[in-house]
Amino acid sequence: MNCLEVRQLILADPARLPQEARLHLQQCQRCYGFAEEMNQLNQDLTQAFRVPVPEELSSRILLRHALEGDQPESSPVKRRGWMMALAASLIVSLSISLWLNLNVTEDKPLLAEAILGHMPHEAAIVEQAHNLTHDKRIDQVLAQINATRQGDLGPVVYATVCIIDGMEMAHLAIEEEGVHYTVMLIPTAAFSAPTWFENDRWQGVAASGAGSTVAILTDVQRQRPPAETRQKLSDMAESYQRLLGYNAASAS
Amino acid sequence: MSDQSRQRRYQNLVEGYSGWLYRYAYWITGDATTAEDLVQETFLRAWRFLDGLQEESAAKSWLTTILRRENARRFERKQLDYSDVELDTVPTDNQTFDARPEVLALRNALQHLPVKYREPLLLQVIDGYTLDEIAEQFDLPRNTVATRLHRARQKLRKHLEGEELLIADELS
Repeated sequence: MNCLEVRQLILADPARLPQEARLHLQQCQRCYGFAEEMNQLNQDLTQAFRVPVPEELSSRILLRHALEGDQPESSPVKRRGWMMALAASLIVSLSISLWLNLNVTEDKPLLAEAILGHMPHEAAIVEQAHNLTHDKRIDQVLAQINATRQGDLGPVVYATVCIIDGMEMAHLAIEEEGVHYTVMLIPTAAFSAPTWFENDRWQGVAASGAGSTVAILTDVQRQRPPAETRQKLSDMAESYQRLLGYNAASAS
Repeated sequence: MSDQSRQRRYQNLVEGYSGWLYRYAYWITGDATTAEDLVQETFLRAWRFLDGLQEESAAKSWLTTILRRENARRFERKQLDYSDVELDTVPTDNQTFDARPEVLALRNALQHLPVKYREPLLLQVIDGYTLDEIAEQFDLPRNTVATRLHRARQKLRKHLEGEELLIADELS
């Protein structure tokens, strides 16, 4: 396979090169550099495409479904008036429920829900991430939320800044023995004690300290025995609270 | 299937895929409001034809197909219901997840990329579709998809190089 053929394959799909093309990269410095450039472009594209999804979009869809699921179609313009009225009432009721939640509970189950709710957005990308992320990229991500590395974070294969519950947070993925662990550093101390949460796909633990929360999650389907997984997640939460230094003073 | 399990299945689809569909709609329509309308229309139609979805593993692809068809329908009635929106215009949105200069430059470059190149790139980069899966989704030959992705990256690269030269000129 010559350089031209390899570069055509790289431009079409840099993440899935055939064995023959990968062998060529080991021998050709220029094509290797080109592949690196295209991989970086892919990473940047991932971020560029990720525009914010409107808050409560799912709720609005389900609300509309409940109101007119089997009704004849109306025009989008007429419906927009309807939807604005519905959205306004939804916002009011959500605000009241949020206010009540914040005032009656010290821990924030809403944040735990938000953490679990965020996982599907990244899952497809994280599952395909196997190459180690450059330290510079990790530092950039952490700097964006006023945090720094305090030691070796282990095999980080994905690092980005996401928005959760209206806050920017660092979202890292660690791959150990073929298992992905998600590590989130969220700049709010929401939990007074380590808190476990799960749904049918993910399980995790969140622990707060020094103005921030570290959440560790992994896929339920790929778990080891439950007790072993809980121990692993718990150990990781403790470690990453140490390893991810959040500067609350500089953030405020 | 009981009404309750049908409702539950539908709710799972909405909660699992509305975010993905919104982003897809945003990048093919170039407008946040239109994108949300399109996602709403998609899920209304999905409810009507829910029994046609045989396997949950095919749900995302099934919903994406519905959304693309709804977008085509949107153009049929566009003169009646929609103000004119440039298809290739991506709105300026200050609330972005990543505001690094290289990502902003890339968003600007994507704005200049025709939708026929942008759409397969979105499927491949964001959702990890293979060339064969994109070909199936768009009902196009695999080689055509490969060529479009090839050209998409070339165009983005060229645009970004041009930006760098402009910045260098401004600094000198």
